[in-house]
Amino acid sequence: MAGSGEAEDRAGPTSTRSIDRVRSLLSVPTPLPMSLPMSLPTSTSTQHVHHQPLLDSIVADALDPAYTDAASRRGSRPPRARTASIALLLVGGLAVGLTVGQQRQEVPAAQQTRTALLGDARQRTAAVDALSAQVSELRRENTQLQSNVLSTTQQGRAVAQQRDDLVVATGQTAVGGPGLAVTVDDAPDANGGRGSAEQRPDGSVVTGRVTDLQLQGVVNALWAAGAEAVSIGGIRLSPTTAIRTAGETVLADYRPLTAPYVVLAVGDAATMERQFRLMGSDVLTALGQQGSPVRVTQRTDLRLPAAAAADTRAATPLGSTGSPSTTGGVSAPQTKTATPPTRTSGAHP
Amino acid sequence: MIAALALLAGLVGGLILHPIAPGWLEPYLPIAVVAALDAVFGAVRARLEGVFDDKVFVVSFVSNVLVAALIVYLGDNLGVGGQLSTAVVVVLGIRIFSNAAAIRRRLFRA
Repeated sequence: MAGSGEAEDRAGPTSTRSIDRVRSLLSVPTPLPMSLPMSLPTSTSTQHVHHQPLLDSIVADALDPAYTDAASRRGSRPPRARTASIALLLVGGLAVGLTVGQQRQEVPAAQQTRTALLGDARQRTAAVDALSAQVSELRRENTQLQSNVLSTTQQGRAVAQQRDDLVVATGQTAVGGPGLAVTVDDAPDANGGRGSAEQRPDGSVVTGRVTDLQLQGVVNALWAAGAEAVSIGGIRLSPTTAIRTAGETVLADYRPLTAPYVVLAVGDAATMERQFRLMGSDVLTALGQQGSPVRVTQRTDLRLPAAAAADTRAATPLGSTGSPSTTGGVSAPQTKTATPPTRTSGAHP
Repeated sequence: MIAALALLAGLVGGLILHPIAPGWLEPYLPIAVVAALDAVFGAVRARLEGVFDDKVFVVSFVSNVLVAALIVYLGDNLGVGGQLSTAVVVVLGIRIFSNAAAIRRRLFRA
């Protein structure tokens, strides 16, 4: 900065006249050099007042010429506005400190909130996982205890057999085996906006979005095609599970699903697929027309979880029909026909 | 001396007390601070060269801050906010540098 010092020392005493100052500022500006600090070009002694380059004038006026003007005019007059200058210095310092303090505060606060929320979410998820594991364990215990109690009497054994027959159809146990995987997705441009909706002749508006009625149709077609167990979006369907819409979301068993909807059905894959395409032809056509892609694949390795535990709503006590060792006693007829699966329906509001 | 103490008091107060600036003022605070710094450096240099005048300091401080904020506000509304504030910062930065250099020369040579 040595060069700049010399230039401004030379320019300082002479540029006291305001007209000259204005003229120097209005001179044709030269492009600023890229580096700071720089050594300024020396200007001729008599002309630099009128044609100072922009940079020279900025640097020359760094010490406001008003100070030297006032000093030369002041003489013995006392300085005025002292308190005002003190107050302003206070304000200036305050402003600097405020800005620095503010910058330092802003970033950590946002970070802290985010970290806290993440921690909360992780904690709650862990708690839910622990509770789910507990639920499965308790269900297993219950089933074991039930079997123990029921195996002591003949009538109990008949009831136990009935329960075992029903347990797959009612979704009370996990199921594995071959079957079909049907994936239904929203149409690619279905954002639910009115612009992409298609007006049907009967006045109803069809967007590319998959509705609960269409999903019910798919599931019912799978039941009719001979599925032994059906799940949608990982949620096993029991005879009382409802698929419905709330707002813009499809819910199964009051739990939200997101597209693409994966419907798994356990059963004989080949016959099921044939029957499914037959039974579900109208819902498949409707889905095709609105642009929702449907993909059907045969699988051999499906695993469906158990449905949520069923509530006990009614109970009748078992009569004591004699000990199991009664001679000549006829064991209860064992019916092996699977109970026809009930249709999945939506809950009516 | 009192003036310097006032500056220091303001700095410390701003850092420790964390006063909340009103929302509408916040975008202009940084550029106003740079303009205020320029006025303060000019005042310190004038003091060292023996030509300090309170009235000139007050006027230059206030006008610097107001003009800088006005330029940023105008630029935001015209859509050239970034470029205008760059220009303001460049000019003020050059002035601060040259005043600081003069102060340094005064302090370490004279």
